[in-house]
Amino acid sequence: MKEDLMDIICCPVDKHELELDVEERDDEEIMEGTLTCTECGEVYPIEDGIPNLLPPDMREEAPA
Amino acid sequence: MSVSEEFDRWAREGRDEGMEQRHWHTAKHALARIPVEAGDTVLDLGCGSGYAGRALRETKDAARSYGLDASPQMARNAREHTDDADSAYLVGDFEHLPFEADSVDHCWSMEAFFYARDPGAVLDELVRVLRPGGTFYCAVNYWEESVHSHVWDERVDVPMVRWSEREYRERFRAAGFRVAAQDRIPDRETDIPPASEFPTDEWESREAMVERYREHGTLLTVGVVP
Repeated sequence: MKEDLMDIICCPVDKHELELDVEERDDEEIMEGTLTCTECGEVYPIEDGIPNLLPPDMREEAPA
Repeated sequence: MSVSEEFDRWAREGRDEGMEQRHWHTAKHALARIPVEAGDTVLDLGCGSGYAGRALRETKDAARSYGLDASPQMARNAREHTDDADSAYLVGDFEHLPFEADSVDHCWSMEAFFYARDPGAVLDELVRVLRPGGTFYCAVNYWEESVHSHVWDERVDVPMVRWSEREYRERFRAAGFRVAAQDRIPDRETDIPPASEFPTDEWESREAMVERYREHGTLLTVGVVP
């Protein structure tokens, strides 16, 4: 994902802002990292450049 | 099985590409009608292989196209189909959209809306995230009046919602949309064999197949946020 995605995404559950932590970058793309809700504290993973913003109870471990 | 698991399985089997080819026969006509202006942000709900969002980027100069799918594997496949950094894919749930209010100009969805457990909640979410004047182009091949489509729910291992054309209009209005248009887009490209080849594995009669594709085709309902 590009950082400008932060302009429009929010926590899927309470719609509050997300805080971005980058673990790995490839040019302007964020490949690995986390998005943390500034209100409820839920952590959403960014894997292979794709943020997983499923509500926590719907998130399953991605198959390898 | 959850929608996410079912479509992860489809994506691993490469079935997203076949879906894209079948959907394109009618989807291209509907996509061409979306009033996307240069600079707009578009959302593809249930993006599968991601073809629709890429088409809107290429043909209408949408500034950003976001494809959302419940299946992580679909989102990974979609991402592999493009190098365009402004075509992005997210994993998410239709009923819990991870977008801020008034952040999207137009939303497209093809053959995905009826997989929602609570479609009314999806419409409420879209009214929230679309800007005033924004549209939802909702295309389905599975609905009440399209009688030959009714057997599909037995082939997919997740529940499917089957509304009538009137129900689509009523539920859009109940969520706060104005219904700008509703029509059936015929599929004139799917090959229909001569009558002598029927019955086929899938079709009892040529008449039924003609009705399914050339008459029922795809139902498009267009909602506009006031």
